[in-house]
Amino acid sequence: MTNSIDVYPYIPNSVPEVKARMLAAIGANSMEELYAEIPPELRMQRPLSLPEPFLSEHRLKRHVQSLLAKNKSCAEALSFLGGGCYQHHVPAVCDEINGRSEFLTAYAGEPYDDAGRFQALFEYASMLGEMLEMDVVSIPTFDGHQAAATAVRMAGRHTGRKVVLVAEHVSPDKYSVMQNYGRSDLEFRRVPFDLATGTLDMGRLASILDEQVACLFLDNPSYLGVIQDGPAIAAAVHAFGALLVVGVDPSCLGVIAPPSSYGADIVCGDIQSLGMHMSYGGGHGGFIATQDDEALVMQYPSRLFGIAPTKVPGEYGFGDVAYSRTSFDKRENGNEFVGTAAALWGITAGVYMALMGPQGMRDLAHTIICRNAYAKQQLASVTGVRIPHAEQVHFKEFVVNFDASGKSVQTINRALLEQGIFGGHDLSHAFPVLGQCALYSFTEVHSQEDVATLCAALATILTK
Amino acid sequence: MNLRVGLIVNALAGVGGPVALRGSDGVAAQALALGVLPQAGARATEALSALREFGTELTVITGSGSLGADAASAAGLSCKIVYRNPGRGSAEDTATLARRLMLMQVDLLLFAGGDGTARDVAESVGDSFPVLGIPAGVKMYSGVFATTPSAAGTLAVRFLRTHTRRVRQCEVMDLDETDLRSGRIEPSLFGYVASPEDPRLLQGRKVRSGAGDAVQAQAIAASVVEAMEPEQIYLIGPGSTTWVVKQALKGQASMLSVDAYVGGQLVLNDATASALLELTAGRLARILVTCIGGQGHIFGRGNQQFSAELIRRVGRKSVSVLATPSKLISLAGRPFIADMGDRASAAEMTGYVEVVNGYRSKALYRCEAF
Amino acid sequence: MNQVMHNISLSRFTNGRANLRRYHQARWDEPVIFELSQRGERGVLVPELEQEIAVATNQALSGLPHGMLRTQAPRLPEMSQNRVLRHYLRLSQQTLGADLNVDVGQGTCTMKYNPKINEQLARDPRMSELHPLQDADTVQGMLHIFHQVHALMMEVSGMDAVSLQARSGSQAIYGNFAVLRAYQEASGTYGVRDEVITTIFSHPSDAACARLLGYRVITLYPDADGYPDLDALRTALSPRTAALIITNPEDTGIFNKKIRQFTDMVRAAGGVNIYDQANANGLLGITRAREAGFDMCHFNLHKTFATPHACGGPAVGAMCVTQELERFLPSPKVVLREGSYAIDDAGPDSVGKVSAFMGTGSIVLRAYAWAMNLGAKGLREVSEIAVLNNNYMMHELLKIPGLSAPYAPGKRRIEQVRYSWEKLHADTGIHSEQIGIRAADFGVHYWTSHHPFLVPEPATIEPTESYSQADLDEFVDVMRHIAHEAYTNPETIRSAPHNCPVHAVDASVLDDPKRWAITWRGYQRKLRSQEAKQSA
Repeated sequence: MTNSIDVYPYIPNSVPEVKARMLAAIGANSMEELYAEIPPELRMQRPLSLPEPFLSEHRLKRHVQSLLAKNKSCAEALSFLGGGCYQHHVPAVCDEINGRSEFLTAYAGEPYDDAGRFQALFEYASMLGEMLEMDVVSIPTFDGHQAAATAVRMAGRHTGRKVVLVAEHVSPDKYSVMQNYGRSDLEFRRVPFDLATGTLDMGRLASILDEQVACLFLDNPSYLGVIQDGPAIAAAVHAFGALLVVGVDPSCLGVIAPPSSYGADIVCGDIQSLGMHMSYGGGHGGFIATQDDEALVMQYPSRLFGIAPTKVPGEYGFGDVAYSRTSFDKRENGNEFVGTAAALWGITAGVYMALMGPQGMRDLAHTIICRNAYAKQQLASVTGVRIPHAEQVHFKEFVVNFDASGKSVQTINRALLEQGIFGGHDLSHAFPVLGQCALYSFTEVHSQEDVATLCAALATILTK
Repeated sequence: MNLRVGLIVNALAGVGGPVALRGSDGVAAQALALGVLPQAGARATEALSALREFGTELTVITGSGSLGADAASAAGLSCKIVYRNPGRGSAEDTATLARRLMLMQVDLLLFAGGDGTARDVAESVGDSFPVLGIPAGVKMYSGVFATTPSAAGTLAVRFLRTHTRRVRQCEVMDLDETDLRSGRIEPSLFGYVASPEDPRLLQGRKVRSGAGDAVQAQAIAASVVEAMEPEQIYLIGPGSTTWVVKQALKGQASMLSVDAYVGGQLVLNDATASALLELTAGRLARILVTCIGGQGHIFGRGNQQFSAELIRRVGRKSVSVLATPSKLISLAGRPFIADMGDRASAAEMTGYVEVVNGYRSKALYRCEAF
Repeated sequence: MNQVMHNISLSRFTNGRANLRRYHQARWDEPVIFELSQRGERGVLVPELEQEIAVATNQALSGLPHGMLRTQAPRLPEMSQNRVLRHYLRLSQQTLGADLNVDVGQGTCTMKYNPKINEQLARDPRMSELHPLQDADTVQGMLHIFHQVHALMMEVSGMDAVSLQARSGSQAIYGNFAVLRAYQEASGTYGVRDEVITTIFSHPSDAACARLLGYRVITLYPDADGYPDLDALRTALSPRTAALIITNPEDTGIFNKKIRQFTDMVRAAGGVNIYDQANANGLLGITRAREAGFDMCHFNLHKTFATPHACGGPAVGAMCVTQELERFLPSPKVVLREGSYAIDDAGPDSVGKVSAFMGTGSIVLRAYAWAMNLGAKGLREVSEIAVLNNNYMMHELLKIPGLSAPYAPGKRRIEQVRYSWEKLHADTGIHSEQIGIRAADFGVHYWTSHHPFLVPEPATIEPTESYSQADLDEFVDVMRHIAHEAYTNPETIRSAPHNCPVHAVDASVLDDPKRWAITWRGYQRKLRSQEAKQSA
């Protein structure tokens, strides 16, 4: 058996006779001649040192599967992890469409040969626009964190102010992304949340706001799952001429009021919940939305697709709106930068929203709120467990406190893992003020039985 | 869509070229006598034929006969005549027709001719509405000309099709033909007109839209003003990009003059070469200039107030060229030219010059001197 | 009745070469999805609430703050499942994916084959159903793959440490600048050394990301041979120099022989060297960032390492740095400890996060599978054939009247060439962009160039290793045919496309704030307001 071949299935012209024929056609004697421009001292003098390859598709498949077998997925375990990435049912049609060769392998064609890509992304923006009740939605950014980072930069450019307020109960990772991305031009200040309610501390907000403030950023529902008083927050922020930038999980919008309805100026978030598998963080895409205010539209760095007539009556065409905003057009003089991000997930989110329809989106949000309410009730009755913000309405997740058990979240999660349960995300490092707390997430995939399984497991572990 | 395109054909443009008269101003009769056939009308027709795709939605507004109507009809376009003139075109015909077209508020003014025609047009219409030159003359130093008649047609179509009608300020240059014929070359900057942006630089899907060069000029000006040192003298040359800087500072200056500023305040208006020497004696100074699009001159064209002696004194490192990336690219790799007529200052200017091309953004570009 | 059997293939070839295809793309004339809505139809159902939960939570919404309950249902389309599927299948057919065409025209994008087995593996539930916050013990396979791809990137670049957190090439450029900033902050030079030098041929994101992180940008223009100008670099260097960011080869495909001089000069001036390796497809196992004197580089896994472009993401940009810069890489990092993998916080000097979680894990897996199928010899074959294909293509394309390859005449190019239709344009008035659109009538397309257009009437062609000689010939034949049309029948080009799903778009509305519509609701709103005005 040899582990060396000459002809590679992915490389048609690796056939030696073809290679020779093409070299002859261009008047070259050897492959080396083609690299004549690279000085010898820069040439690698040895072969790359890499593992032996699995040349046949079968062997490769077995190898990778053997690695995948070392994973234990949320399909096998019972998982209560959330914190920005969520386990949902992904409709089969979503996978069917994003697995289509045409979409999967397209890239930067024109609105003509890629008319379908443009239309699908326009429809994605349009359906999300209906969910958000906003007229402008961007082509997806990298993830919801990036969307938030860009949204506050947009607010800074729009207002000409430099101070960005960020609620303390946003995901620490999201804050890190925002700060990294913005701090060369913006000054970040934090607004605390009320430990008792898990909502933004309105008193502290009022004392921090002034006329240097470009915007307030908060998630609603928050990172801790609480649905907060949007109208009150908007009124406070707008009183100082600042913008309200809200991060929202679009899957709550069948029941929860869209941020635009209470006055949010820029709305952003992540679309992973709209038909994407978690894929170890591979399912994320971000959105940014505003009303159709020209001054605000000109602040987007992302591409925006618009609908336009063609020279044939009754035919829809599409194209880039106000392209001159972008770095593609103006390099360092454009807004931020633009490039490949998460377009396929935009198309998929469109498929998801079309499948769900208004009733499906309402059912989804409603069932998630109810399942969280039910889980809160059930968990509260487990000895050693306390639900700190129990009186609030939670969407998708809530904080569970284990101080009374005398056990750390780490210990508890380790014990749960032994029973095939992924406990909630440990918050004790990022939010030490909350004590030994974890963020437990429940979606439409968590049945009554799953909740019972969790409670039983916790009851055993906490009383040990 | 009811489009109105103004047209001026200088029928005699270019006739001096073939018989080495280096221009046609005032020597047309001489050239015609030598048997030269006028080509400007045919060149205008070539450009205009691209406009046929607008069909009945477009009307050409022009003068009778060889002033434009002939060329428009030959291109199959319908036209409206607003100036009837019995004879061959003259500078007066160009100017009169241009003024009438301006009153008619045409969407675009096309003219076929050379630098002399461009000058006549510019003097009549200023930079108030978009003008595009169909190259048909002997000298075409001005940036208002498309590269070929058919390129002029393509550019006109694109411009008329876009909503935003993006324009840029183009120099109108001319050499004095009397001097030229006697061997002296002294091209001067006569003014600016607004012209459609060159599609070679900014094309199609990625082009349309926005304010283009105007926004970049603002960014350049902001960067320059932000970096100004309070004690230093700033000598700011003529041009559309430098004009944006002057407008951001205090005092009444003009687009075509060299002006001096200290601490953001105008201290010398429309300065002469000797006044500049006097002002800068023993003091730190910085020169801000633009470059002539497509040609690359930074000194010696329209800004002769910057004398060889002044440039030697100030030095290359204290010269900033204000130019958008598209202007640099219009040079197609050719260096800047400092036409000083003086060996020592030429040596000083040979090398790399700083170009401010955006906000906190600059390029380094080669300069050669003569 | 004629009983003769026809040799059909005879009329498909001329002198042994295939004739141009009589191609037409699907044209479904598909409505916008909202127009397909039928009230009451459902596409997919949500798991119903168990009776007990429903009863226990019937007051679940009563605690909502005032104004937080949605009052109007979202006006999404209402459609049965198969109708949604059919709509999107039609849109997919109206999209010219790389799998369908000889996609050599999207230069700089490296449109290579994305093997289907990798797709299958990435969609395995043991990959797709992994939550990014799972305990390291439950994702040992995934972490092994991250670790191995780190090693692969290190070997291919010669760098010492890698982060795969960035979700695209541009985000990796941004991430590398964030590392530069953190490094400068640690050494007290941030704000002092505040100038980043780049070249006009480098990707727009190089300059844009530098600005984003507070740097001033100095752009170098090429010398007469198309190389970045070494003398200009010398003039640009100063005590304010923070870094050089440069591509090699640049989009012209010409390898910059003096690259080591560039990096040496920058280092001597106290600056950091950053290599944008988006154009790496011709260089695997041939030459590396380290030997050329770079401190940082990045690769686009969706280009060089064969993961799908997906209409523009998801993707991964691999940030690679030297040991000196390792401690500044994003957090967390994957480490191998006592035979098992762990996820560690990257420490106090780390830039923190550049994207959510650990980036796009499923893309990392695809790149891993691709490299493990090819091995060292295969990767080198990839590069060699990519370069051979490119030089063959250039040789054939330059036979077409009106087309040229500016700069460095007669020299071999690496993986792509930026061509110019300048002569054709001067002769015919036809623009490069119009040729690209006309090409779509034959089932291929190409891209011009980033802005600004330094090469007039540009077309950037990158054949990669994935196309056969006959494929390349077919693309050349399309170009030859269109060039001929430009000289003989330019109107056909001006009025293109003819065989695409849609015709020429009236782009003027896309720049007009009164008429642009970025969503269907925005479109409807503007139409209504126009109607209201007209009737008033």
